Parts: sequence; structure tokens; C-alpha cells
Amino acid sequence: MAQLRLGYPEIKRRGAEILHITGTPPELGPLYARRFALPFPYLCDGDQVVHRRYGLTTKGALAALKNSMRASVFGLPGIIKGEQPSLLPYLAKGPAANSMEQAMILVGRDGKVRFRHLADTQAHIPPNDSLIRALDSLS
Amino acid sequence: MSEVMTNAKPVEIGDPAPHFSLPSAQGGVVTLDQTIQNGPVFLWFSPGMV
Repeated sequence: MAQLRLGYPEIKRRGAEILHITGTPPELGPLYARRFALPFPYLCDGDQVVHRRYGLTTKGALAALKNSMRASVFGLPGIIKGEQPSLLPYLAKGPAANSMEQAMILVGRDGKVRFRHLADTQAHIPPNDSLIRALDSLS
Repeated sequence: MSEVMTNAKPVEIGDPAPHFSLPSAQGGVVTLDQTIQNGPVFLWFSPGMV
């Protein structure tokens, strides 16, 4: 999110928006909003219905286990410090979300997909320059 | 979310973007239709913050 946070002002200057569509259960969303400065709308697709509507699928049990463990490791310090809610509700409902494909999709004002980047890990967000170029190509 | 439809393949460039309506952590409900009225929209799909 840090990379996109840096590029967000430039994206907004071009009249565009970022919607972060997550596998977070809706009941946890307000907790995050209170505890963190979320730069853009953080949407809760807890049952991954919208992920699947865009054709994003799970990558299998191994990916779910790996990503759940990574989430636990990174989330634990926040829980201990009281800065983050317990992971239990997320882990109870989240293994499927943790194995979903990642994607960055640009939708033009005409409602059509204009740019698409698929990845299997969170680390693979396209560089901000690529996103800006995709936006500029619309005009 | 008015319907549950699953695409077997990821959307392609040029495809109509499937509509959606989702609760926002910051409050309220956000729809794609309303958001694109103001300009292009990046949809970032990820597991989210844990």
C-alpha cells in the first residue's frame, strides 16, 4: 500500500480513483479504518464474490497456507501492541482470501477494462509510472 | 451485491467491467457505477490488511 499511497496524489490529479478490493470480512473493515490512515476506499469483499466475478481464482492450499502464515507473522506485533484486532475472525474466514490471485485493473469512464495486471503475490503491484502511463493512454 | 456470477477467466482488456457494490471500511457502500462517473478507476484486488 505504501507504493500506491505515494502515487495516489498523481493519480487523483488525473481525475482517477483507486478502490482497494480486499478479502477482509466487512465486520473488520471499520476497525481498520479507525486504527489506520487508509488513503483510498478500502472495500470488504469478505466472500470474494467480486474477486470471482472478475475471474480471479484461488491458487491452492499451499498458497493459502503460505499467505496466512505471512499475515500472522506481520499481524502479531500489532495485536500485541493493541493496534490491530485479533486475527482470529480473519483466519477463520480468510484462507480463501489469502490464496486469491492479486490484480490491478483500470476501468475507463466507459466502464471497460483498459489495463490489467495479474499476480499471485501482494508484492507484484505495477510501478506507479506504469499506472500513470495507463491513465495517460486513456486521453 | 445483487448477483453471484463467476467468470472462469480473468477479465480481458476491452471487456465490460463487472458491476459491484461493496461496503467500505470508511463507511457506506461504494459502487463501480457511481465511482466511474467521476473518472477512471483502478481496482486493486488483494487479500487486504491483516
